Amino acid sequence: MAAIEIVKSGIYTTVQDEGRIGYLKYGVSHSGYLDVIAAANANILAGNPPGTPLIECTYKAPALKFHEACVVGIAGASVEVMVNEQITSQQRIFVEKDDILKVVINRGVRCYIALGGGLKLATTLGSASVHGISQLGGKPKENGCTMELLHGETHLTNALVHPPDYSRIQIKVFPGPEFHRLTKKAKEKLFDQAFVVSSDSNRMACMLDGDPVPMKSYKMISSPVLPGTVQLPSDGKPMVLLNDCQTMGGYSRVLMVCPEAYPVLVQKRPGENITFQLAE
Amino acid sequence: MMLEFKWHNIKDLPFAVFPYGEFAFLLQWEEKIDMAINEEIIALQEHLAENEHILEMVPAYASLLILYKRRITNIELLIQEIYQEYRGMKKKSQPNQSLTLHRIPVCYDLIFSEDLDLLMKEKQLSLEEVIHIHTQPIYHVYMMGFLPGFMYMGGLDPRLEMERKTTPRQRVEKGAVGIAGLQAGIYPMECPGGWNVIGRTPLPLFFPDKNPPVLVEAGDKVKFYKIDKDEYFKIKEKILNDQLEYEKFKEKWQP
Repeated sequence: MAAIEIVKSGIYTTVQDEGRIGYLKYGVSHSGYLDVIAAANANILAGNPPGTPLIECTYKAPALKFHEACVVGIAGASVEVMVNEQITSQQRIFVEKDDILKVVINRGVRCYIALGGGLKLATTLGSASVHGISQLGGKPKENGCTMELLHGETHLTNALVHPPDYSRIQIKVFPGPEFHRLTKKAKEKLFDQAFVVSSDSNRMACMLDGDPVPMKSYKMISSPVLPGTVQLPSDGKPMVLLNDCQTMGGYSRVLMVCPEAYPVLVQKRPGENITFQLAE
Repeated sequence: MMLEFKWHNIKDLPFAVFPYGEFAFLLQWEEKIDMAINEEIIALQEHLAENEHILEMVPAYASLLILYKRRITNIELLIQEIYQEYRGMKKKSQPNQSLTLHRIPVCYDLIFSEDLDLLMKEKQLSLEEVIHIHTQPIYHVYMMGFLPGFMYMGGLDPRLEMERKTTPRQRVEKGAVGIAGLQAGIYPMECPGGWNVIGRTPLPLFFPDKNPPVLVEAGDKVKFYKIDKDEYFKIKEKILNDQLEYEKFKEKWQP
């Protein structure tokens, strides 16, 4: 009997770690967990070293049944944890055999479930991260999927990383390589409005709705892009590239989200607002 | 110290520099699809391969993205370093550099070439003519992206130029050889796509279990050659039995 069994599917559940680094030039996306702070805290709570692969849940977390005792760390923007239908305020859970763990994502989009000692996983190009389009790292986890524990060493501490203010609407940004192509009017539209996160958003990009930002259409040849890049296509609706984005893009790279703002951005739900704020 | 997020133009260098976030910077040559520019980018990338500060690099048509291992705090110092590296590379550059040419087998049989009929009609070319025009050039691989193992190749004869399909297919097969505008390409894995498919190669282009995980890299050359259905399936079988000698599909090449 496998250690962990998914008894109810979440919406989009994948294994993620620090990412598949070093292969961008072959068209391989970095992937990896989107909210590095919450992922770090989930691992700290589970007693794992930084970067240990864990489970990333989206909108709705899966229900997990344990066939082995384990320490579990859970973190997100705001989560509610239930063990055998009993709500607990703890985010470090000492799970027993036959326990069923449920997590409700109260606020934000993603939450992280780390298993003490890690998971027994195959790695592809040095990472266990799942990349949707190419299926590198495997497929998302669904009802019936099982996982084995690695039984690595755990060191339980309470030295958690201070979480960012997830309620903050202003997302700090740097100018991007094509920032200079924005007209004065375009810059006003870009910085003076509150964009709305679109339900089209996924791990490849955070899509935004709003008053179109005018962009002179010019033929840009495909160029390298990094997660965090704010692209502006000719329809004037900015999109923020996330970890699963393609490695090349043909749209203007007008802004780059600052590292501290990225975890806040990836936790913005469809319908929520964000504004861009140039870092001083 | 705050990074200045603006384009830094440097005297005597053919590229400008822009800090792409705080952990990477972009070197931008003249923005055009030009083999000489791309070859210089690939050469600079090779020259920087052993640099201890660099995490990884991404060559593109006319730019080079360099990811650093640590936060960039002083762009001026960085530019100085790059300047020295570039000059160093130019000094030792060998004009008779040996490159790699990959011979890629393509089966143009009807079962593999969904859009060949359409192309023949549109271009008023016979099957033999299309195959000859497609297999004639030595294509230059400018860069990779879009999907793991997907090559952006230049050198397609304009007689075969054909716009992407307005409605992409739900599924394009792995190995599909296609045309989109003036671009020639091969799908390294099955996925939706709008390219015009004119054939299929039995050769895999992406190997997730190997390092490097690709057969062809940016800077390499590619030449297509025609195979029939029998040869296609023979190669497929050899691959299944782990008997294919991949070395036989590439050779050293000089311009």
